[in-house]
Amino acid sequence: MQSLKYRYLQVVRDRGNMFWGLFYPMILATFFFIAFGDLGKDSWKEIPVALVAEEVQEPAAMFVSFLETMDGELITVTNMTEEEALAALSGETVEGIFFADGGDGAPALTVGKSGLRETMLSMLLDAYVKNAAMYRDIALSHPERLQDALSVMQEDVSHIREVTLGGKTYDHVLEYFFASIAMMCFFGCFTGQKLGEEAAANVSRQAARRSISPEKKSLAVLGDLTVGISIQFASALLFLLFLQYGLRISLGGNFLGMALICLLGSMVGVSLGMVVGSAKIKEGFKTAILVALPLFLCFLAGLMFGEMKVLIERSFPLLNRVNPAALISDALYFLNVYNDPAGFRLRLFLLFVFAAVMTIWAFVSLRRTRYDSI
Amino acid sequence: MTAFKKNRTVFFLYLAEIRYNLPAMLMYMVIFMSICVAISRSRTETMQEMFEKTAVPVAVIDRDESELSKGLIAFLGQENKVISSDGEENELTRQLYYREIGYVLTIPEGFGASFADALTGEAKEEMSLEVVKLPDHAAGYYLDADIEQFLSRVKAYLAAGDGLEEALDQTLALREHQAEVRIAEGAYAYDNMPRFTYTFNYYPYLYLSVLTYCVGFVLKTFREKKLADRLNASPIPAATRNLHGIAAFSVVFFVFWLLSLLIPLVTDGTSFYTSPHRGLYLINTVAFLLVAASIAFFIGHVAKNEIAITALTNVVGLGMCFLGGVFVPLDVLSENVQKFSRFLPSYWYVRVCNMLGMRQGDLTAADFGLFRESMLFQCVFAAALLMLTLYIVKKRSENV
Repeated sequence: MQSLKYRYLQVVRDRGNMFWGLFYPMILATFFFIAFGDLGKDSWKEIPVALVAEEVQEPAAMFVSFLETMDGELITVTNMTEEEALAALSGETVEGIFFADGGDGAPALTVGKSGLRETMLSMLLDAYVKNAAMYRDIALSHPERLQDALSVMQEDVSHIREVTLGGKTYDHVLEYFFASIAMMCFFGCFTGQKLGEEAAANVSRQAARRSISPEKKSLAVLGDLTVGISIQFASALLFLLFLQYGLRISLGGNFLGMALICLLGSMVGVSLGMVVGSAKIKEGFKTAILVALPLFLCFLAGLMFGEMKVLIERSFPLLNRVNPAALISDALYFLNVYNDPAGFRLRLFLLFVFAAVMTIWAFVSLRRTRYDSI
Repeated sequence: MTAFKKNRTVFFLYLAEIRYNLPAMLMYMVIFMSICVAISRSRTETMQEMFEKTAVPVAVIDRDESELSKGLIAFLGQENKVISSDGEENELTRQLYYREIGYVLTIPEGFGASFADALTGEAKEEMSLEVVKLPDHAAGYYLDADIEQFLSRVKAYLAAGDGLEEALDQTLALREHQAEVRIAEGAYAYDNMPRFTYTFNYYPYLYLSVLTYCVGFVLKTFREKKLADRLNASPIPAATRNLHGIAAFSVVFFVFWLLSLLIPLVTDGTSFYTSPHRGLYLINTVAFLLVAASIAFFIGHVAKNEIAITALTNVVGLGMCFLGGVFVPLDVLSENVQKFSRFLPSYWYVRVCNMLGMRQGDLTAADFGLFRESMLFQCVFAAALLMLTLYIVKKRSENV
């Protein structure tokens, strides 16, 4: 117990490791939050457009009246000559040019690029063109009821109600946060590396001194694993609390389930670090493995590109079942969003197998090691 | 220059350390280049879906099975792929999650009757259709608008005296009336963008990650107390030593830059090498390479251990790339984020790449203006950060 206490103190007192291990994921999550905080929320700004309507007659004059009614709602309209409008479009002071008479009296739209707002403008014109055709139809077939049709079109009735399946969100932005939780768990590999180096007598002097102490080697290794995993687990829990209460991200209500996933993730991260840390390989290469491998696994789980995991699932699903970062992210998604206990259990089981294999590997590779000379 | 030629010991010392770390450096290069290739290949497919009106796989749960609901399904099928669903929640969730569908429409039982009653004023409250859409794709919002317009037009035909069948037929026939939308000559359009532009868009992450890890882990050796003390005791001034370090790393950076230019070959064949704007792409990559090198030296000198190097590299690399429009298109970020992004070199790099990618013809004066502005910003950023780093190193060596 005394040995365990000092190992805890040794790890916790390494302020650099503790600071970055805890705060790096928080900073990263804050960046995600800033970048995606407003995604999908209504923050519509009127689109500036130019209207070219020089000496127009019916039916083009109708389009001018239509645009005037839209002015200040979806768009802001400025009357211009064609030359002025093209110059404004090129200078990006307007995002589209409406021609009241784009040929044969029909309106037309010219845009400077393809994008969200340009598509809105094109939909606006399309709605006008179709409605105008409809009014022509009605004027021909039932001229006496045209006013009724106009009244119906002017009613402000919504026929659609947005719902969620089972009250859950399908926001893929959550993928980034789930992948950052996986990254957080993997960051335990640096603590694991330190513990591994301090346990392998052929790697560090401290480990050589420890190896001649009367303490049973297997107990010392078990103690190291306990220290590393529990500290990483505590950091992961703090990170979860930061996401839920600091950034107010709705991860889901099952905190115990998430904690269990983080525990298994921490076991994978710390034991990976111990295995690599205790291995007799070149220092720079050792660090490179611990930097690049978790990052690559988290990339496959959607850390840099949220839909990566989905693309892999479509083309090579086995990769998502053997990638521990994807298993962490998937398990979180299955637990909180996708209400499928069987899928969750499968991912949790695979993660458990991974964690158990890595932990046993770390334990076996360090216990009972004897050296003839160092 | 003369001093450099006379005292090349430190230069070779740096080169020796770089050579020692070469396997790790190659590993970083291979991994981050693979990430770059993987993202740019998959991103091309999803980029257009984010903005433009594209066909969406729509799951329809028709609990009404009325004439109106069938007409609505036929309307959706005109431009989208309609998949009939029994409404099994778990299956729909799975399909949404894996993007097999992008929109779920539930037509409740009695919707058709309620719709007709609303017209005659008999319905107290008109029933609504229930929809589920993906929040990060605009296509769902476009579909909402389409459905609303379809139902309003059907209602208008009914109000004009047509029967439901006739009203549906006439509304469906309106499809032939399409708005005339032109793209201005020399316009920016995502659909014009060649695949290699998407590849170049990811270079900031590639450069920042590889350079920072490479520099960081080599400089860590030079900060080890005994070696640092010996170097500080030498007659070579700190500034000269740093210049030697920069020169040695420049060799690696140059080789890495050349290697990075092979990536478009993997993602888009030879089209980049024959494209008219290839020279400007190259200048843009060199400008960002300078930015990445300055950040790498800064982190390499301020980070004290491996975990700090890794954390700072990820925070700076991922943060700058997310906020600068590398991973997520700038158009989908909020206006406030975009205002902040203007202070990031990655924002300027990406803007130039997108401009070159979308502009197929000759560049305009405004395009050249953007290019010059971008180069200036990136170079000033790199120079300022390098100066700051050299100042920190000088102060630190004076305090020994």
